[in-house]
Amino acid sequence: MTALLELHAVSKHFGGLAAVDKVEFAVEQGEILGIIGPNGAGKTTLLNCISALEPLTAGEIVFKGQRIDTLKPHQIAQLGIGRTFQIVKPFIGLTVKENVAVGAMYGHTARGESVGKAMHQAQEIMERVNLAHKGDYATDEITVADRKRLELARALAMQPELLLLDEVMAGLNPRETDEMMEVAQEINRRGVTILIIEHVMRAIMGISHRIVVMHHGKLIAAGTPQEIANDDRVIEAYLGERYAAAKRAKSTGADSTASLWQ
Amino acid sequence: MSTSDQEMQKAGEGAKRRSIFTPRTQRLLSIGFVAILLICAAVAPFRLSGYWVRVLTGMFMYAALASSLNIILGYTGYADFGNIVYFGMGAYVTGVLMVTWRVPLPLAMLAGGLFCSLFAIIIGLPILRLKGNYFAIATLGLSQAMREIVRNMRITGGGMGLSLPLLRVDPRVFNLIVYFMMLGILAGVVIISYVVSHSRFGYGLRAIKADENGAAVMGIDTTKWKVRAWAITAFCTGIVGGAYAFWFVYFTPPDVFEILMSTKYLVMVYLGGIGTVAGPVIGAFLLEFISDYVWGRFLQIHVGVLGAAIVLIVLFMPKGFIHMVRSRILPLLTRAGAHEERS
Repeated sequence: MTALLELHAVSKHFGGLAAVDKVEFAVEQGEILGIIGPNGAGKTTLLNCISALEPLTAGEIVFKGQRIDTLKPHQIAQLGIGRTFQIVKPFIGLTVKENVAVGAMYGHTARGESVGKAMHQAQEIMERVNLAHKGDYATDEITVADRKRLELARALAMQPELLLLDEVMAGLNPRETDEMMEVAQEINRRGVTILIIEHVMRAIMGISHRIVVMHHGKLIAAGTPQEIANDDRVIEAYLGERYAAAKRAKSTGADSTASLWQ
Repeated sequence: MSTSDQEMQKAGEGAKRRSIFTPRTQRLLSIGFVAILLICAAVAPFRLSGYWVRVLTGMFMYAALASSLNIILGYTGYADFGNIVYFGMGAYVTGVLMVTWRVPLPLAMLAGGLFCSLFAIIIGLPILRLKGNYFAIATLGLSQAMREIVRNMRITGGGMGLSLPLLRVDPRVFNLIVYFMMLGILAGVVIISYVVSHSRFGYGLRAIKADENGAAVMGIDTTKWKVRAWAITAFCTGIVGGAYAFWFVYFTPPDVFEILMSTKYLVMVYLGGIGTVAGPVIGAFLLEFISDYVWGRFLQIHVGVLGAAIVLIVLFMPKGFIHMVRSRILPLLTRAGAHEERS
């Protein structure tokens, strides 16, 4: 495996607050890498740094061997990095299908794509995320789950090599979450590398090949889902020191700890 | 609210945004409708009095200005309060070229439009990085600064104004020439607006309007697109300014950098339907018709009556005339068809 995206000592400070503090990891070609961490850990800020919505305070970001932290958001998109937003903001005034088509018109491989061809591609993408029948709807006429699907479809239409997913499963019911997990895995099988932030533990433990954990802007652990589930520092960050101490005292087995993450 | 009003509202909501015609039929209907309008407009000046020919010419001018403004304001979502700067610059570039270098009118107008475009690109690159309200304020300042600059230049005639060479024809013929010139410009601007609205570029602009960061991470070079949109607006507005110069023959800086005038066509854009192709044209005709009517009937209190009319319009069709027709009137006419399609 080769690294598709490398983060070298990436820092982002807001005044005196280090929202992201010397974070260092790599996303391997073809994997699904999960980022977890408590609220305010700096996960979304990190994604904003990668897509250049926030300029870095220090550090370097390298995509396919090319340094990208000096580029603008649209240049990064055209290089092949697509993303979704935690707070979905569809383009109001455009229909669902037109929203997706914008991704096809401007994304990775699509310079100068005609409107008709983009609409055609949008239709295909919407079928992949189970949104095909909502194409003509206005964005305020669809459900929360459909808005999440739309958010994913827009990013997919860009035909990215790397997809950054920011809590696409938040607000979904268990059945919809399962469906979204399947869709994400299907996208990954087609060769798209995925970097995903998620609070739904069942989902992120289920689909990630590897997971990194952030806490107070710092990377505190990295490993397979199983390793992460049993990591004391992670348990401490999530469940508090007292719980971690109690767990150590009891020294319960790995299986019962893993069930905490369900 | 009466029962019929409630029914009307229900029907409007029921058939929201889904037309009862197929896109193909819709397109044919639109083309037919526009063709009929054009034929009427071509015949009208030979049937109407000189007064109405002038009123219609004014309507065409405002419709063209509103359509031009709509590209930056309606499609891109950037409030250009000082758009009048391009009207004035277009008028002055055309005038100065004709007076000083004897450049023929069409060439002078084209030069005026291109000059405005170039100006928009140079000024736009820094100020279109500003978002939202800051841009509006910057454009407002720009238009006032430009008026003072022109007032203090020698080549523009300064505060004394500029007189263009008079075309030696019968006034009736002159009015006809101006009428068809404005009609032609309006048609051109509407075609540009239509092409932009249906193009990849237009979708990019509407994405920027809805969510600028979202547009950027999808690969849209937002600053470049905004500057391009503004350059198109400037070009069209400048051409109209050149036509105005030819029409009015003599003008001074306050005449063509009149901020109230750009407020007027800004209102027209909202009145007709912001961000649509036909909206600004309809808005211009509506407002000009109302203000002409009011002017004639209520000479003493016309500003008050006009103000009241605008308030009523904003109250009862806040999204513009086009939207009201689409959501209220069309479904009412074709309720049966709409129900059939949904079931």
